[in-house]
Amino acid sequence: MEIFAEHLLNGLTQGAFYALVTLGLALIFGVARLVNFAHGDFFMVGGYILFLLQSTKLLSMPYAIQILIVVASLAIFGVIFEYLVVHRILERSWRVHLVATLASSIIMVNVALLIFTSDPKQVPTPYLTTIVEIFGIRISVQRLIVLVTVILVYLLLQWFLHNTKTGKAMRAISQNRDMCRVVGVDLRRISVITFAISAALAGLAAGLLAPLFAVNPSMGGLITLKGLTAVIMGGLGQISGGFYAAFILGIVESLFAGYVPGGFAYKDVISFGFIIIVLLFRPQGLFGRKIGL
Amino acid sequence: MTALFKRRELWFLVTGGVIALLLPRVFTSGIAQSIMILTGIFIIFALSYDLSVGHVGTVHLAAPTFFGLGAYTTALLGPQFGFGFIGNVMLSVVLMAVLAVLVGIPSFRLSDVTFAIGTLAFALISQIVVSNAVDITGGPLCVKGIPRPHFTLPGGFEYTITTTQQYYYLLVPLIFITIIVYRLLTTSRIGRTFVAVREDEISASAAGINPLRYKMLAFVVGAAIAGGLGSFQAQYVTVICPTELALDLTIKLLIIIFVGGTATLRGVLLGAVIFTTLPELMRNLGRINVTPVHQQILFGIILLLVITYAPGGLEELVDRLQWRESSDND
Repeated sequence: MEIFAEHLLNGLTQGAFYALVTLGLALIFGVARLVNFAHGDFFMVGGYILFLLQSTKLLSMPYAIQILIVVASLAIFGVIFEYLVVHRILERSWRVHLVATLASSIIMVNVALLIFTSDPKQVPTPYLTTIVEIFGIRISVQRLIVLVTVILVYLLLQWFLHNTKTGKAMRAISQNRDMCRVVGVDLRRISVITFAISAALAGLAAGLLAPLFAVNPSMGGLITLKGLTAVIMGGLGQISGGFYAAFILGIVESLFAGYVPGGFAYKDVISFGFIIIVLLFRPQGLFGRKIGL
Repeated sequence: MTALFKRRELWFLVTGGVIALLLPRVFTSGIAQSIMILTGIFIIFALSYDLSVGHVGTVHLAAPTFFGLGAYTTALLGPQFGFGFIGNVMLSVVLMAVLAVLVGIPSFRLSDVTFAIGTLAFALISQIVVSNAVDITGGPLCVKGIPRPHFTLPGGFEYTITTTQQYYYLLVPLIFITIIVYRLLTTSRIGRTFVAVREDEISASAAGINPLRYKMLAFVVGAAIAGGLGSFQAQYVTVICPTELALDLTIKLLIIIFVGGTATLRGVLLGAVIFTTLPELMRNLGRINVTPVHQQILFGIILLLVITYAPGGLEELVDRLQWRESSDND
């Protein structure tokens, strides 16, 4: 029982990680109709920014401030990405989107290889080794912070999408782009804001979860794939569907790794299985059909 | 019925073919000849990928996977069955075609985007499985000692391919077969249907075309050719590692196709020659130390610039130049 609870908790943390990635991907897909194959590399960039912050011993700052800096830098990074790459190709076909984001991904990975080499970098926080006991289950404070933050961020994002003018504009664009242009929604501005939020979410994921793994240049590909898996499971471009799907994926992976003999090496194969099964039997996503964010 | 090759292209191909056959006489060094083989491999590879990407317009990310799995098919099954060179290649071709159908059916379900994602998943997962199934593939230890191509000629002559030059002459017919298959598919009724599906899927369906069938055809034939090529690669280098499945190769293929010019035989050939020969020459002749990392960054930037500003690629450039020189129309 205790072991089961531990696997479940692991899965929840993993799911929270996928959820942050998925939210970013789904936002971009909803607003810009663009699948960003470089999204996982945003996480990687965030991880290295955290690493740089930690390795400059001169200004030792609290963990919360480190996270804020990572999130802010990633938001700026997202805006730069929008200006340099996305802006020029947004109105073109999805093929162009795919090739352009894939090329960006390769550039990011190899620049990271050039600067940081392929050795994994550890970014530990003091909360990793602090263990608390809740209802007889031992959990590191880091994981607790991850879970609470992700749920808060999700609620905040939902509030933003439903109650602010910008958020409503984003939802409107995801439902009918041309009509939005007709009534005078500034598509350009919304696109930039969406990329900033999306990248900031990847940055938050990096700030929270990079300490649990090690950062290496080529980690982005698999992260993108996991995010896309959850996006497909939840129904393309649905925020809430993707969010729940991310947790399902995380928990199933964790239980598979824990209970199937030799499962740990193959836990990443599950996402492929999910994609195949969902596409075969429920191509509109697990949670029914809805248009827009 | 349109001709398999236009007249201008025929000249280009015949000259190219003669040069290809004479090249080993001019460049006799081992390094030069291995660069030539690499170029030939990428010509076949890029043509097989262009069927899907250029002609039908469905970008997928599993080309290196079919190549790698084709290589593993030969590496693992070849020595056990003793099929010989042609048998090995055919086995990889057939198995990869079947695999492509299995991957294609679910991936094509929703849209072209999910197709790209489905094939990306297939690519990443295959790499994980090949790296981890140590009992079968040896994992990172690679499969070593794959037998070289061996032919028994009529009259009891035994002939084994060992030198680089012999491999080169084994590869040249394969390139020609690929070019013929590529042309047979793309200049016939099927080829026109490919273009119809690429340009406007809805109109194509209205005209009684089943777009899915043609997307699948291009994907499966491409995968089969890539698999056969992988089999050649396995019997050429005789060592196959999980890195053969690496996604990096996709970028190289995309750059060849998009910089050369999508859906054009000459463009893809030019792209393949330029982007395999140049980096190798830079590495071997020049004193500039260009690591694969630098190369990938450069490739990424070129690909990004070309896709953004010059989607027609080199082929369009060549075409425009020729049009300006003489206004002959063929």
